[in-house]
This record gives sequence, structure tokens and C-alpha cells, in this order.
Amino acid sequence: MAEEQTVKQLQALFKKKGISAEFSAPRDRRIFITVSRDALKAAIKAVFTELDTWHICSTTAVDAGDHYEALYHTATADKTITFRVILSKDDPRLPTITDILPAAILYEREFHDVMGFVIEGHPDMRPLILPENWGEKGHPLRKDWVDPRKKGGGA
Amino acid sequence: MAEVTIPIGPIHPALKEPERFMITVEGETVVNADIRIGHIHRGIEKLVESRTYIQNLYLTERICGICSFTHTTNFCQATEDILGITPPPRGLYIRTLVNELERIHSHLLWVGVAGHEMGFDTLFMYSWDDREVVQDLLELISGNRVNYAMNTIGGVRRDLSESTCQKLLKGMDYLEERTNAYIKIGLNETTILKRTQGVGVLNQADARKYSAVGPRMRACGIAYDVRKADPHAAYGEIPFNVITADTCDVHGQYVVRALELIESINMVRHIVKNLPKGEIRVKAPRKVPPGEAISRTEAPRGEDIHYLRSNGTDKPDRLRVRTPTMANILNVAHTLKGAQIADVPMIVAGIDPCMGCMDRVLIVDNDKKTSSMVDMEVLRKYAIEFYREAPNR
Repeated sequence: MAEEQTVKQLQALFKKKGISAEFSAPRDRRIFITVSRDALKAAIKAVFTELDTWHICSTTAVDAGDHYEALYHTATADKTITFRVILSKDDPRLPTITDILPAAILYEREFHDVMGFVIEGHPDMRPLILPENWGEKGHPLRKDWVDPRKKGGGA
Repeated sequence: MAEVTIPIGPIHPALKEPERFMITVEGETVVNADIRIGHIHRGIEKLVESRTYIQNLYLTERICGICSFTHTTNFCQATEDILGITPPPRGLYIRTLVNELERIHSHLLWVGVAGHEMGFDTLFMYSWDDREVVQDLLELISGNRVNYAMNTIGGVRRDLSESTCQKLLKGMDYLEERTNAYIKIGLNETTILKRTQGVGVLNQADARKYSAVGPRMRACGIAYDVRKADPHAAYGEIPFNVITADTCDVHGQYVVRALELIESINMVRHIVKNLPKGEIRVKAPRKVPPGEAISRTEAPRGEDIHYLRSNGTDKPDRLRVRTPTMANILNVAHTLKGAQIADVPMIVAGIDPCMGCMDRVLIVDNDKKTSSMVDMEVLRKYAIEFYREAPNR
């Protein structure tokens, strides 16, 4: 499978650069790379240079019960590579990647809006989809979020 | 801004994206553009979590009013991926067919919208009239003109009859003739050339920097198409070319879309002539085991991506939708800088934002330090007058 080859290539690269990461290729054309928060930028940079790519498709913030996950979906010419960062619930900080991928600027604002991730070093942290007068009404995609404007809460 | 009330928890910026551009101008030139989206955010990503997979099929269909099929395709593909089921070949071919018909109707719609924005309403009338042909074909296949409800987890819901196939081929012959006319018009008509050439230029490096998608990116000479890069449904088996242009402007986007129409018409013919026999769907269980999947499709406007996570129940744990306009807003804000106010409607319409999105533009006049809200209709009229006074500006 071509993905296994790519995974091996990236594993060798990460070893050389001293980045620790876990790889998985659940099906053809999909690769997941789990990295720590501190290694995220180095990992993205290394993969983008190695595979000569530029495209960030999207990001996803997931509330997985006991922890959060930040997923960065990127694409090469024939694969979708997702970087996964696992964050603890009491410290959901992430470094900004806008200095290496300017296209991530809106997605990182959305990260903060919907899941309350704190993006360190982000140039423009205004709300993206929440209104300006949202205030402290919480981050709606968290599982424990209840709509403060509704009696009894719930979506 | 603060007065805008959003009906439900604001989660997802797609749908009929109403983004607001804050435009700072100096005389006629835009010096800064800022975007604000989220005005009619419907909270679909949150809503999905409280609906079953079958209910969500109909919910995701309503993410967009024009490219509805691409969203259900993505949702079905992601679910099928987690379930580990593959629809039968005939189902995949029909899915691809409807996808391409949707592209034809969306691109024809764009030609009309672009014509309207540049004050060339004849083009708008003709292309929307021709669009009725493909709308009628979609109605014939699915019973609906917009939200087709064709997709289901494990395949499609309706089969194609022999007479439908014949009507499809006949419709494609007509559309090909008309599309050739639009290509000729686009390459020769002075109104189009004057209003689009050199307008909204996004160079290739910036297209990469801002991760542009779809015809916007292909008009910058980057041959990237999700149908080739990540062949889903039956795209791996159907021959087609990735169309690019190297002018990087709105005219390039016209050319790319017009030529893509021809490609789509040929794909529809190929599908109808090579339609495999057999079932159109397999039965899928109602509960989905824990897992995650990413599905990407090439919507008419560009790459559309869904991320789905399941938790073993009959409801998804998380669905993330990123629509093409969201990815293209950034490069629009970038190209607006340095443009003429009169070109703003063309540049914005160039990416084919899900219409209704550009609700209002805020014009701040730097000299007079005044600001006023202008809606798109006023700005469109202003632009047409601006070029009518002096066509050689």
C-alpha cells in the first residue's frame, strides 16, 4: 500500500528531526499523525516540505469526553494527512500555525469560538462565527455546553 | 454588528454564507478589506449530534441550497467508510451522475450571476433558461429540483430507467451546443472581457498561501481537483480532464467553469452509456460503530470536506463541515486590497459564494471619515454606472 510507504518515509524523517509521533493509515489515501502540542509546528513544517504540499483543508475541534482533540486536515496531491493534537480539558492551549500556514487563520478563530481552545500567538482573535456580544456564554460545541438562552438548556 | 441575533448556537460558518466585508477605501481604491461571517449561522454541527444518521442525511442536504448533493455524498461516504460498506457499482455511478448534473446547473447559474453582476443581463437570462434543462433532468431523476434526496447510506435511493437515460443524452446534446456558445461569448464579448480581465488577480503563490479551492485555484494555473486527487464514488473510472487557466483573474474563472461544463457533459454521457447493471444500494445498519472518517468531494465551488466521528450509537458524535466558500473567503479579502470599488462585486462573485452570502458591504471613506452601509444591489448599480461613464477606465 502506498500509504505504508509514505508513513515509513515520514517516520524516518521525524526520527531524523527528533519529533515523536504516532502514525496510522486507516484506509487508502488517509494518514493520521498524532503529535504533541509542542511538536505540532515542526511536524507540519517537516511534512509539508518533505511531500511538497501547501494545502490545509480544514480543522476540527472534538470534545472526546475526557479530553479535547484538535485535528488539522491537510492534503497532498493524492493523500489526506491529518495532524492530531490531544489536549487536556483544563489546559486547551495550542500554538498558532498561521506563521507557517496563513490559511489557517479563520480555522483557528473558529477553534476558539466553538471549543474554547486558546491559540497562543494568533494575530487576530476576534470571534469568527459567534456574535461580538456573545460574552461568557460558553463554547457551543463542548458536550457539556447548555444554551444559556434556553430554559432547561439543550440544543 | 452587535444587534445581529443568531438564532441558535453559532457553530458552523457554511450554508448560505452571509459574510460581511468591511472595506476601507481611499477614493475609488480599496485599501483594506475585512470579513465577518456567521450572520445566519444555523448551528448545524451541533444539531447533527442530536439526530440519527438517517435524519442527518436530510439535514446535511440542507447545508447548501445549490450544492446540496455534495454534502450528502460526503456524509454518506464518511458513514460508509466507518461502517466498512461499499455501495454497488450502479449506485456509485448514479451518485457520480447526479454530482455532475449538479455541477452543470451550478456553473450555469454562476455564468448567469457573473453576467448579472457586470450588467450583462442578457447572458443571465439565457444561461438561467438553459439551466432549466438540467433542473428538469434532475427533477426527472429524483423528483426534486434542488434537494434531490438521492443519496442514502449504502447507495442511492432511485434507479435510472431506460427512457430517463435517453432524455439525459438528449439534454446533454442541447447543453453542449449552448455551452459552446457561452465559451464563444466569454472569449469574445467586450463586456465580459472589460469587466473580468485583470480583475481580482490572485497569483499562484498567494493561491497556495491562502489555500484557495475549486475553480478559483484552477484559474491560477494549479491543476488540483479532488475528483482526481481523492477519487470517490465512480470518479476513478470515468475519464475527464482537469481544466486550468493561467490568467489568475475573474476571466480565468469564467473560462475554467465554461470548459468544466463541457467536461461534465461528457462525463454524464460516459456514465449513461456505461451504467453497470445490478443493485443501487446495500442495506446499512442503523447503529454505527465507534470510528472516524474524512470524506472530500469536489463541489461545484471547490473542495468540500466532512469529518465524521461516531460513538457506537445511532447518532454521530461530531460532524465537521468545511464548505468551499469558507476556504475562498480569505483570498477574496486579499484580492480586494488595491481593487476598484466597482470591481468588488465581480471579485466576490468570482468565487461563486453561495449567493445571499454577501449581505452588505460597509464602505468607510477614508477622506471624509464617514461610513455607510451599502447593500450589494446598490453596489452593483454603482459599478455598472462607473464603467458606463468611461468604458476604458
